[in-house]
Amino acid sequence: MIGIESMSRYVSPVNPAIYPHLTLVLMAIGVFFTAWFFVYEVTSTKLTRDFFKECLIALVASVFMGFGILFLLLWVGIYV
Amino acid sequence: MHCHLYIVVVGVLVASVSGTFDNINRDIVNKKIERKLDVSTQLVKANTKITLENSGSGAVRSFLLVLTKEEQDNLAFINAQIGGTNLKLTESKVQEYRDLVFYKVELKDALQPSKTVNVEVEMVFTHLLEPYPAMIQQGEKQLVRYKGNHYVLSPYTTTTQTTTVSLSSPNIETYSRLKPSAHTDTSVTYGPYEGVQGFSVDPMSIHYENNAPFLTVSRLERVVEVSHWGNIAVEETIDVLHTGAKLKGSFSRYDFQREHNSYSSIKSFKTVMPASAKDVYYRDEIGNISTSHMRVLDDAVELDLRPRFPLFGGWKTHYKIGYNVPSYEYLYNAGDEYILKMRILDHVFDDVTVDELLLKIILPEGVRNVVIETPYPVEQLPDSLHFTYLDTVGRPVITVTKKNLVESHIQDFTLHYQFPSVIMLQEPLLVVVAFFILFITVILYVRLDLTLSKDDATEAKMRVSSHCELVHTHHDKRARCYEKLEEELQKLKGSKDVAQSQTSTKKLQNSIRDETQIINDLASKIRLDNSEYADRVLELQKMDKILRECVTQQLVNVEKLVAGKMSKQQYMDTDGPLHKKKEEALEKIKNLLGNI
Repeated sequence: MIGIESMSRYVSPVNPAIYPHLTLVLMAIGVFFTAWFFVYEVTSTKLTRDFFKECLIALVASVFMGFGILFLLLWVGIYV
Repeated sequence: MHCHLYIVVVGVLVASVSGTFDNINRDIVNKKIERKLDVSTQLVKANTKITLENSGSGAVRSFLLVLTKEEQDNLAFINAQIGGTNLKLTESKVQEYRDLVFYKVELKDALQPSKTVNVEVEMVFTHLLEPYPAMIQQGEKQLVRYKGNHYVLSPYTTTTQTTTVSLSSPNIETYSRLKPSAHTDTSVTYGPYEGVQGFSVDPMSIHYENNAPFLTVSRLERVVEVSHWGNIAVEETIDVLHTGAKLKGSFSRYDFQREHNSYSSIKSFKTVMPASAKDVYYRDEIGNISTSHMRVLDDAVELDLRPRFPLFGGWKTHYKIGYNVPSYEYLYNAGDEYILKMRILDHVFDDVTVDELLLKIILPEGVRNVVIETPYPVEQLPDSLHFTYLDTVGRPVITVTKKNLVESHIQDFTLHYQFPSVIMLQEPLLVVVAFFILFITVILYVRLDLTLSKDDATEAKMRVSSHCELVHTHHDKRARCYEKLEEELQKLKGSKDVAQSQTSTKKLQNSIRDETQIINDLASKIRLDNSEYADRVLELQKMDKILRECVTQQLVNVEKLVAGKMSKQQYMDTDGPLHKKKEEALEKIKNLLGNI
């Protein structure tokens, strides 16, 4: 077992000071793609729908929303 | 060192179970004992300076401390040291004195014959002061009785000894006298007593006024939640009981507010938290208690807590206090190896006595090989799991418990564990997957067709609109090609390189032709469902043809101009009408597109 003397103080991989900014940026992008996705879903007909495009938008939206929500939780004090 | 102590303590327990006995070494003499008894708070703090002498001929490696059964039951903390270095203490037994409890103190360096050594022994006892009378009225002062021994209980003969008892007030009802003894202000001095035999007992009793807060934490649950996102959350659930003289009769809020004569009741107390503590909250069953004052000092955060009601003897309260500290204060790492170094017990109020402490350490999911080390023995309870936000298999919880603690127990534990940092990605990915599943559900939902019969009219409309959309897309592409052609024209005027220009214009013209063909196909498809729209598309195509002819003519003219086959004047004359015609066509196209 390594002793405490040879260890360094642990800091978060992301500086907690930028959690609010990260949240806002990621969530903004995420909400944009989510909105696009839903607008696309309701305006397209079964003849114009493109499965690949839908999946691509959904993937981008979910990645940004996922990380955005995580940093939102951290920002408000739910340290998951 | 902590590890070392822990092992020692385990060793002691094993020794006491196996029932080995120690012998009293008659060679040891207490040359001088100075005892200071501090009974000014709810605790009894005994600080004894012993000068040991080896009167025998062999070296002495250890000596014994002795306590009565009653003292042992109330003993919270014991420590012996020589000049600042702590000595190894182990509980032991002596065959002849079964009703007494012994502690064997091992000297670091053996005591040679006729040499002396100064040992300082510190003991803290809880619940040893007895409120007498046990019940008082609201305005009365609190009197307590301390019962002890005029002599320092020791297995060895003492040459000379003195005891000083410090009290909280000069008001003493009675105190036992064993000459020589003296009472000055807030202290009573006994001794010096010469030539006291080993195990001498002479009952001491002091009945005096003590209005110090008799606050006992009957149960303290301390939860430390470690997050690798840079935070350690601490929450303490505290049950406080006033263990002083019980309140007799009813409580009058009127008297309490008007006359400031409630001596033993507790209105507020102070809790000291780490300097880096933030987001501090303090709440009881019905919510946050706002009548508290927080002061941020350089080296600590002080919280002045005021329960909703004053605490009288026998009254209790229950509250929670919580705060966050950044992880870099207490968490250390090297690769995947981590060490958490935090206090087992933190400050609750001054001269606290904690009857039972339960420390829970919640670690992140995916933590392995957890080992806890404590500076004094604690009981480790089985590990459990804790579920909170974004958890899957649950977070491991390390639980330890200990009874009867005082301020001297505010020491650090060390917790080793391993944690692969990749696991931190699990939490965001959980949310990502959740969102993706939602989107996929929507994608599937819109594809569900639950209609029983096909509606041809709607189908036809849908087809037309989808084809019209495609017409728009392809027309846009075509329009962009025209724009590029225009650019090429301008470029050609400047560069005068006909050959190079022709290759790129050819390409653009080809793609315009392709798009036009596609739109034509779409028009015939639209005609199957709706001839009106098809006509409009054809009209569009007609306009486009005019436009194309104009542009082609312009191109030819420019080429001629560049090659010198046409004069500038001629060019200007032909280009003017062409340009006008082009503008007209574009205008019409714009109108037509709005209707498709």
